[in-house]
Amino acid sequence: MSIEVRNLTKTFGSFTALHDISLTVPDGELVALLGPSGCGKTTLLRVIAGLEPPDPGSGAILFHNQDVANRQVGERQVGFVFQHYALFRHMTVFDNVAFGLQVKPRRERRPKAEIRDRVMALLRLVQLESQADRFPSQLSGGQRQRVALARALAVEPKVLLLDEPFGALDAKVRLELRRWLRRLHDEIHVTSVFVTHDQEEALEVADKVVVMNQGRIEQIGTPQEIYDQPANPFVYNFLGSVNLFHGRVHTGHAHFDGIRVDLPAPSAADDHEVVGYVRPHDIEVERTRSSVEEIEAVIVHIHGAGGMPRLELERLDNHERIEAELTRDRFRELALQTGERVFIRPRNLRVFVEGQHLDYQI
Amino acid sequence: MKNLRLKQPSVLPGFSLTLGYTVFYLSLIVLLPLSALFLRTTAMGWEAFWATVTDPRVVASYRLTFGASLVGALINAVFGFIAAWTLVRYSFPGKKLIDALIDLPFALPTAVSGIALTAIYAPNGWLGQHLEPLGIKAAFSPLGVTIALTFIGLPFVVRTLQPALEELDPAVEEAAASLGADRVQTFVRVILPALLPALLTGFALSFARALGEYGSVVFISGNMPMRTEITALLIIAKLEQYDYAGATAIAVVMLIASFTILLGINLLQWWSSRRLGTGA
Repeated sequence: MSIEVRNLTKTFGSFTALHDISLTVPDGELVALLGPSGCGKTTLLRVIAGLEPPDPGSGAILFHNQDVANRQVGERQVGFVFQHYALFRHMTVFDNVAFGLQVKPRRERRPKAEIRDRVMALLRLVQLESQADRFPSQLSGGQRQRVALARALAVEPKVLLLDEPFGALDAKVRLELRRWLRRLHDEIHVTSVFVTHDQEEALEVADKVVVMNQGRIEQIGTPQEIYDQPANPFVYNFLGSVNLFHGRVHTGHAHFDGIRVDLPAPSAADDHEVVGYVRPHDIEVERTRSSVEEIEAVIVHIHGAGGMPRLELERLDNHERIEAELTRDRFRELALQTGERVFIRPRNLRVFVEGQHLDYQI
Repeated sequence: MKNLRLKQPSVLPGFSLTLGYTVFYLSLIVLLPLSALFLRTTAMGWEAFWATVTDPRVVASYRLTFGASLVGALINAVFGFIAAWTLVRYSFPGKKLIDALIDLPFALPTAVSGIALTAIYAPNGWLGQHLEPLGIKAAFSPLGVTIALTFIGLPFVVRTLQPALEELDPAVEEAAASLGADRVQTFVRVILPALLPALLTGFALSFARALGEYGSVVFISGNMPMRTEITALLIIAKLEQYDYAGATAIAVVMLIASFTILLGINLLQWWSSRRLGTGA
């Protein structure tokens, strides 16, 4: 079932949590709502679920082209997974999963044996069959969240909504569980929306990522589009570490201390300030100067561990900090030491015209 | 059984010290007076003891004391729950005032509560004069005893439920709603079981307090033999006649019955909270 949100606004007192949001989630897709805390992503998810009413008279929420504004959360056929699991502590794992099937009106309720089969099938799906008789307090965080997922799936929801589902888990469990969620989604294909503030998680798991900031949508696209063509400095900044180069426009080119970048269209007037954004892995490091377009820097610190060794550098001209990442082979080949002078050159410089407000804050 | 060591290694020392203090303190303040009570009773001999504690007037007082305490505690469990729910879940003007009022039965000298309740429920009192034509005799009847015992027990239920209610994650209710449960189902199947241990504790405290109550009851009950005499009153009456052995005999029966009931409730409470575990 597809989800469509049209011109939705939500205010809490004088605070506007959602600002004229429009969004379409096609049937069967897994979409991530990504943004810093307080950006409105959870509120949007809760409004879609029906746990929070939108502002009266603002916009519409359509499931499969039908307006669901007047439907209570229980009637929307959504499965909701909460960040802190929200399991029923006094019930066993089995009873938790069976809850949605047992509270159905008598004429819709399935016979006991059928409920039992369905619950056991779901527990098999989340690989917790052997834990059916345990209580939530006896399970690990990852297991609890899988119970919560099975419980949400029990009512055969048309839409699955997950609010920071891995937020309360250890890094390693989080990684495993999000890959498992992706595989699960490929199996059952229920339209899903999940909220996260972890860009890696969003880029890895989702078919489509919606980047939000201060109650507005900044960009919607596939993970690759979002990463390779960020629409604005906020998106660029939010998706990973970044180096900034300040420069000016001159005769249709952007100039950054000797580096010249072609601007696609006459996008800014001469002498306009521009900022170039470069990812650390797009900084080339050389021991010797090979062109004038290189900047001299000194190595401040080396983080040699991990798949991409990281260098902290300081430019000699303006003392700004630069972060660079090298492949392991290149790192070994250069055999750099702290305090050494090197020459760096940015690749894939993404230029944004200065003056656009950068609202990103931590 | 190496796991069953009594002393757990801890950064805070003093296990032996605190345990020793606890046992000493309990012995001095609670166990010693209680054993004196039993010793006193043994002085009177089995037949005299049995005759005293099964005297029809005494048996009638047991029935009233336990019955009225039970009814009072049950009423408190229901209305205390509503009061605690209102205080935790909603904010409204005057909330702090109502919150403070809940504690009043704690602070008031029981005799004061007794006089106040009697003034209201007596046949010529504010409420009593309207109840009288309806055929309801509030003061000087078992009903009056129940009213007094309800009054003094209310804070126990409210105060034990409040923290448990505050701890209850609202997301649990939202989860139930998203799974299609209606309000009644959510309450009966999700909220009530989660609060049951706290509710049982509050009920037990309220019940225990009512069993031992004396001051507020003697005014409103009228103290009619066989009808509105509570056990505590009979004990006082025996003391006033210098029948110390008789007084302690009744006290021993009270004590054993109360202890058994409270132990039962505690076991029930322990059983239900064990299922909730920690965390989740």
